[in-house]
Amino acid sequence: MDTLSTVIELSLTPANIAFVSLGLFIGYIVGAVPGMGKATAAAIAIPLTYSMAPVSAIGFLVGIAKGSTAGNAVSAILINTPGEPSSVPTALDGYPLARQGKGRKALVVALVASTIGDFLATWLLIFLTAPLADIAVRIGKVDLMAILVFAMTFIAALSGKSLSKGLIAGLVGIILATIGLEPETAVQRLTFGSVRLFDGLPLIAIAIGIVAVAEMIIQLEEHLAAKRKGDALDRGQKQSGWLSGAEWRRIARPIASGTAVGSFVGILPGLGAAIASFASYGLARRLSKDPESFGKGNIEGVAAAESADNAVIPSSLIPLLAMGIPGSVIAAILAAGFTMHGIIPGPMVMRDSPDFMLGLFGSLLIASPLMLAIGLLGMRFFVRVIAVPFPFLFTGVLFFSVTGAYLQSGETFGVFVMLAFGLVGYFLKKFEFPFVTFIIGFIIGPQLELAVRQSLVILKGGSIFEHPVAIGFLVLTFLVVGRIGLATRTRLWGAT
Amino acid sequence: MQILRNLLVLVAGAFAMTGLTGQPALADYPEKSITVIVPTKAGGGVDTQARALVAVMEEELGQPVKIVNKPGAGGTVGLQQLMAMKPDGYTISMNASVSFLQNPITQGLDMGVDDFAVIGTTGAFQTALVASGNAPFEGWDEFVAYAKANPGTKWYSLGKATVVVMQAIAKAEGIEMDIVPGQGGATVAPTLIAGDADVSFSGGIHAKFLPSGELQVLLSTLASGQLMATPDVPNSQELYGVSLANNMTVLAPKGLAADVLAKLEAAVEKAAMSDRYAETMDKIQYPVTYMNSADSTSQYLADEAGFKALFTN
Repeated sequence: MDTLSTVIELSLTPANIAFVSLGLFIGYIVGAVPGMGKATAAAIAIPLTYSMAPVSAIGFLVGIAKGSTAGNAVSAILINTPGEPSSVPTALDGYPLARQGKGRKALVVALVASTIGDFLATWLLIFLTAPLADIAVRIGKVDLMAILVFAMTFIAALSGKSLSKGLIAGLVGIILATIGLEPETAVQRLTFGSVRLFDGLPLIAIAIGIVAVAEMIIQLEEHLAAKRKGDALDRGQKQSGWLSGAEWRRIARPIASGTAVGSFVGILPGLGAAIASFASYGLARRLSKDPESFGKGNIEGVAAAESADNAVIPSSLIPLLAMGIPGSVIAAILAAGFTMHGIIPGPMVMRDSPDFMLGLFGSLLIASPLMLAIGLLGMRFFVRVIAVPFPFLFTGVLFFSVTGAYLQSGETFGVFVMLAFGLVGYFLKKFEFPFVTFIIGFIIGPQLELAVRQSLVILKGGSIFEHPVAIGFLVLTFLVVGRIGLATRTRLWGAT
Repeated sequence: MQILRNLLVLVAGAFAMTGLTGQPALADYPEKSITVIVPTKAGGGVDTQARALVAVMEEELGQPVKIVNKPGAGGTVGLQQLMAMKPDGYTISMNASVSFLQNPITQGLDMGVDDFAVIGTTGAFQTALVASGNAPFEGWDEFVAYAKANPGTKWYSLGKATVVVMQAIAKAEGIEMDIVPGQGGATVAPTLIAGDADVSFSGGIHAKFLPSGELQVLLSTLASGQLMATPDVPNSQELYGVSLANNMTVLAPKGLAADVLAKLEAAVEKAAMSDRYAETMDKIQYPVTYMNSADSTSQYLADEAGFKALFTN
């Protein structure tokens, strides 16, 4: 009880609530703007918190992270422009819903899923930080390698109609991700001597180009065609956003599985929110009674992606606070914020700054209901984006895309990459190649390469049987690949 | 607060101007805002230090000093942009010294100390060779003995520069080790603690794992001076003639006018000696090690020559 009163005393102060709300509000707007990711926003905001009290400062930063993760769904659903790779699966079903005039419903599902995922993962953080530190220590590079190999099977789950097209797009993603300096020998791969390519192609610029810009080109085509025929696209949003009892029951399972997947991925260092939301989406699709409707506007898809995306934020703080290992980009940036306020994340933080930790837990908990309130109140405002006439939408999206690509790198190179990948994305869509597998290949490819090389050295003179987690994931991978193989065989040659 | 401060500066500036009317202004630099290129992402160790320095320099110079983050390729992207700027003192850079010493060499870029005017050095990253606290050896001598007895001892590399330095050390001791390639300083501690490698370079992040005994420092890789947290460990420069020193440095494009350089140098010194910077450095556990323009330049020229020789061997 003493602990509880300390939490209330530290976190339920007017100043703290105000800063958390402000962070959430800014985050929500930033998230809704395509290309302004939570990482960028939080990184820019860290210096602003210099004069704040540590609990308020971290509450403000966490508010930005949580708000922008939830806000990302708004642009993903309404204009098919995910602010970050992790909200790409949200757009897969959210955008078709919006085009069917159910954008508002999709937004409510996304917000509720985000809030529940966030709230439950926060409790997980509070209860598991200390005990899970022990397990996290044992996740070595060999285990990570096996997990990444397993993650590659998501390509099959998300390939859509054609597995071969999915594999081709995934491989192209992997190949493009090899561009840059090789980490050990500094050998230049496909850089053509340009220093700008030493770090590889910028992911955010590619994601914005291939998703947002390509979609705008497609829509421009449709718009011009529709104009000739004399009817505009109907984007009416008259219907209520509230869900029926049956719909609540439908999204309950994807939210539960999404929260579980997001929490799990967040705890494992180095995987990131994108893998969580893709995995959750693939899992929900597999578990659904109606997997065929995924990608065509199924609220379960939105719920699965958003709950996982938001659950990653609190759970990636678990390894950060327990071990000093950030489980995600956002945790790494928050770590910088912690350090600036004299809090060194790691095993000592519970002993050194117990008051700070209790205040932080309190801030994290109050952020969930505040996020729901701000999201619901702001929704009317955000839904209007969709009623904007196409020329404004087109120029608006391009404007924010260019700004986002520029902000990421601070120079025009990112903008050119974005435009080039806008064209690539256009042709991918025209020829029905899934851009999702391309992005998965691009994200996981280099991580897997490094993990395999590390594992080869680490396993020298050892055995993989010393790594039970790795064995588990490799067996799982064989099972999944085997099932895909059987399914393909059945489809091609019929059941035997 | 920022707006208020800028307003005050403006008002103060206006008073100063009226006081000076009629006199020809000899040294009127700076008469507009100064841009600082920080060639890393916002929020890291370099960025945090730069923001503390800039706050004091603003007061000293009476003009806004703005940070622009230009990350990429270990800082060389941002520094190439600095090289292309006019040497008028209105664009400078605050960066880690590896960005213009080791990284251009390993990346094969035509860029070095000669391409810049070094304004000053403000702090030292605590670079060292570290190992897990649970390792079967304690201290550098025991590690060398262990590595000799166990060929194929694994060490975790963080880029080509660390490979070059470690190979020189291994050659001198006659030990054979396997490289586990790594990326990102934040991965050092978890890798060592999980037992995936026996020893690793660290850019300074190890300090927070020392009090708990999770990590131990084997060898300092500073070019001179002692490590703040572990002053007693041996030094690679003394033992093997190689180092991987990394300092917080303020640079300008080559060809800066002498009076502008002097003004900037004075402002950087003030900032390096300020309470604000000391407070920031205390939080990230790095020492303030101020060096003026001339000392910094000769130190870096020597470091550069040493690393070039090592690299081409």
